Amino acid sequence: MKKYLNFSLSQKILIICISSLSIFLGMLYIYHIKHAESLYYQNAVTQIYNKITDFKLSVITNLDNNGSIHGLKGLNEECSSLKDSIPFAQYCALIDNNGVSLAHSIPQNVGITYDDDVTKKAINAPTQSMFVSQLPSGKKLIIFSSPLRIVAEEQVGIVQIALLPEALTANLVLYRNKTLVLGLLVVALFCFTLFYLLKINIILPFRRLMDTIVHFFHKGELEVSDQQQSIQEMSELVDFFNDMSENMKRDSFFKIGFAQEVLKRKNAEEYLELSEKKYKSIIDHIHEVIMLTRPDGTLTYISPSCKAVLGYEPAELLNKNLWIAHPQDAERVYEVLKRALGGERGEDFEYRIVTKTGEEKWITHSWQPLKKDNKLQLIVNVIREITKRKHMENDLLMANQDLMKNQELLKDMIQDIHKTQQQLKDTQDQLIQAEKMSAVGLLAGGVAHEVKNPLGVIIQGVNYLSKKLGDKSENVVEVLEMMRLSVKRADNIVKGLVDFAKSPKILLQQENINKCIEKTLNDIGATVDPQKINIIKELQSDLPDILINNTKLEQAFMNLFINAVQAMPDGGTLTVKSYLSELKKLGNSVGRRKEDRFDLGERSVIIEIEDTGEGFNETSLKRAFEPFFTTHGPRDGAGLGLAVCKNIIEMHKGHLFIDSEEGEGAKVYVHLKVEDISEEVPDS
Amino acid sequence: MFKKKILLIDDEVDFGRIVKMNLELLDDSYDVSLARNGKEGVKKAISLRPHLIILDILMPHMNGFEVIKRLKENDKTSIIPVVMLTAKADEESKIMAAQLFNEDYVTKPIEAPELKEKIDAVLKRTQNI
Repeated sequence: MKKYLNFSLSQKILIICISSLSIFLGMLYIYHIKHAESLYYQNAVTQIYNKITDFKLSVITNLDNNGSIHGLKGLNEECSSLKDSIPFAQYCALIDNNGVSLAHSIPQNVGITYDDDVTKKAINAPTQSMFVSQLPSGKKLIIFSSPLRIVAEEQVGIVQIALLPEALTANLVLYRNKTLVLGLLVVALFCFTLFYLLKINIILPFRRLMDTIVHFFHKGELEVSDQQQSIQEMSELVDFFNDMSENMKRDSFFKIGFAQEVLKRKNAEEYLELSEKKYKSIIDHIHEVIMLTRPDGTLTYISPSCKAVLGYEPAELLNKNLWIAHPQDAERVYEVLKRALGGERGEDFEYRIVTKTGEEKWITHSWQPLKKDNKLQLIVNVIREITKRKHMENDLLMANQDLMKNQELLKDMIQDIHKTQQQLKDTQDQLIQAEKMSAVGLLAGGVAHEVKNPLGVIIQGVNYLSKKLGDKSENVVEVLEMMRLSVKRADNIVKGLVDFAKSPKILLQQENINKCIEKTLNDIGATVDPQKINIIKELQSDLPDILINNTKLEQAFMNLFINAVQAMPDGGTLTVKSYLSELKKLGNSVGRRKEDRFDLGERSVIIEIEDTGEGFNETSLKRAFEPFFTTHGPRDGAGLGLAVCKNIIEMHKGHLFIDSEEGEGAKVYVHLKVEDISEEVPDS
Repeated sequence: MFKKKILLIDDEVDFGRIVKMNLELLDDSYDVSLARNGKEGVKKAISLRPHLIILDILMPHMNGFEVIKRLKENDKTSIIPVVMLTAKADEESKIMAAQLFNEDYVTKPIEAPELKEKIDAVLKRTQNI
């Protein structure tokens, strides 16, 4: 329906005008036709009666002298003429007062009597009369009758004419049709004229004005103006528009592009509308909950996702304060939200909430205050559920803790393994050392016998030659003495080897270590030059007796003293101290390790042998106790002295170590057990 | 002249010979006989009945301790003092000698004067007994 009503303005004006004109002309036509019909009918009746009157004059002319109507003869032809002169006439008859047909347009009907009511009424009617008679066939006839008076106006009969109804209306229909065609032509002419005038005077100017406005507002063409002034109102409208256009052109705002601004604004509005739709669609479908909060904490907007996250419908929360924090997190949430309502910005604040159904969830909450004139207007909140992530984090944390524990265990295990490995290595080293010592021992045992026999022969030979030839030549004596000393040195080397590979079992006795030290110092003192070597003794007098083997310890101390003296070729001071002390420092065989010989805090007799000689360098210090390692020449020993000393001290379950730096002398420490030493010490 | 008969039992022939020469050079009262192994030593000890026996320990077939054992078992030789002379200078040998046989002990290489002192000391002790 709307489609048909959606006409243009010109079409609407045209339709209204044509409709109005048609109604008007239609009513006019109906009125005119009615009026014309009445006139035309009266005219037709009058013409019929006039013809009847003419017929009657003809009849009177043909009357005989006595004026008897019955003498009329040969009037049938006049009847026929009358009938023919009137369209749609059926018959024409001259009837006397008795109803007998005297003359008739149909000659056969002459002499018949009309006794019908219409004829009777017509005979009795004093004036002209008109009746409507219906034939038995249903056909209607209009009967015109007029009385025939000849003398003194005495009626002698009537003239009767029967007509079909069309006789009165035939011309009327023709007239009506003509009038209608004429009317339609007038309407068509009027419409055309009206349409032409409308188009020229209204539609075309209006369209031009519209185009101008469109150019002006839509395309921003400020130079456009309409000069059309065809009609007064349109002229005024155009003038108004032109004035407005001129004003706009003068206006600076419009000079920089009002039209463009309008266009931009229109585009911006369209973009804004599109953007709003887009963002609304996004907000409606994202998992995060978007909330807008007033400064008083009430909600002005909350996105539909709140149903899934919080369990509430948006309508349930609007214009209300939302408080769903878990009781355990309530305090910190309150503090943070208070800052948020104070205008602070916040990101990724994580806490627990309780949903409408009582379910506990983790969320992360970020918010951004919107301010105007430094006054808080709204707070934009974004809430995202992170329950799964939190559970995963928790699982990860637990797993991490387990991992840390396992790592610690692993570290402990690795440390144990390292420790065990070190112990194994130490044991291996000890075994290797023991194996080496065993091999050396076996070697020494074999060598001792095999070497000492020839040495015995040589020394006996030297003795013999000395006895026999000694007195004869000084050189012989000197050579024999050199041979004797060489044999002695060789013998000492062999003895050292044998001592190094000695039997582990030694005899121990409770004795004062100071006696052993003093005896050895006396022995060494006799061999050194007192001018070069200063010997200082600081022996604690009240030392307890300890289990020792005097001979072995003398051998050990002798080796240590000789080493000290040899370390001071240019002279120096040899200081020997003995004292009782608690071992308070870990290391140097003090501790809880299996290989440690002393417990921390255990009492020990300590002997210090200090020289002011060359000292040990780092390499020498590390290798000092290795068999056959020596820093001296071959005449000063085979490098077994310190190794033998260490073995002897270890036979006593003691410990021997050296503290030295190159060029600053050396200090040898001997720690000996004070108690818990069995009578026979097994292999160290 | 009274001769001090000494029997040296040692498988080292050269050593025995040079010791014999030295001892006899140092003291002409010494009459040193030599045996090159334990078995010969026991035989000579029984036949010669020396005043003192110098006995090497490490010898093939019969070592010094077995020789001592044989000598102690034989009445003719049981009282003869023995000075153990060996290159086996470890403590174990000394302990064994001292504890089992109560004998003196010297180690190679020993110088002739030292050996003479030891022989004289032992002879003196046994004469005192």
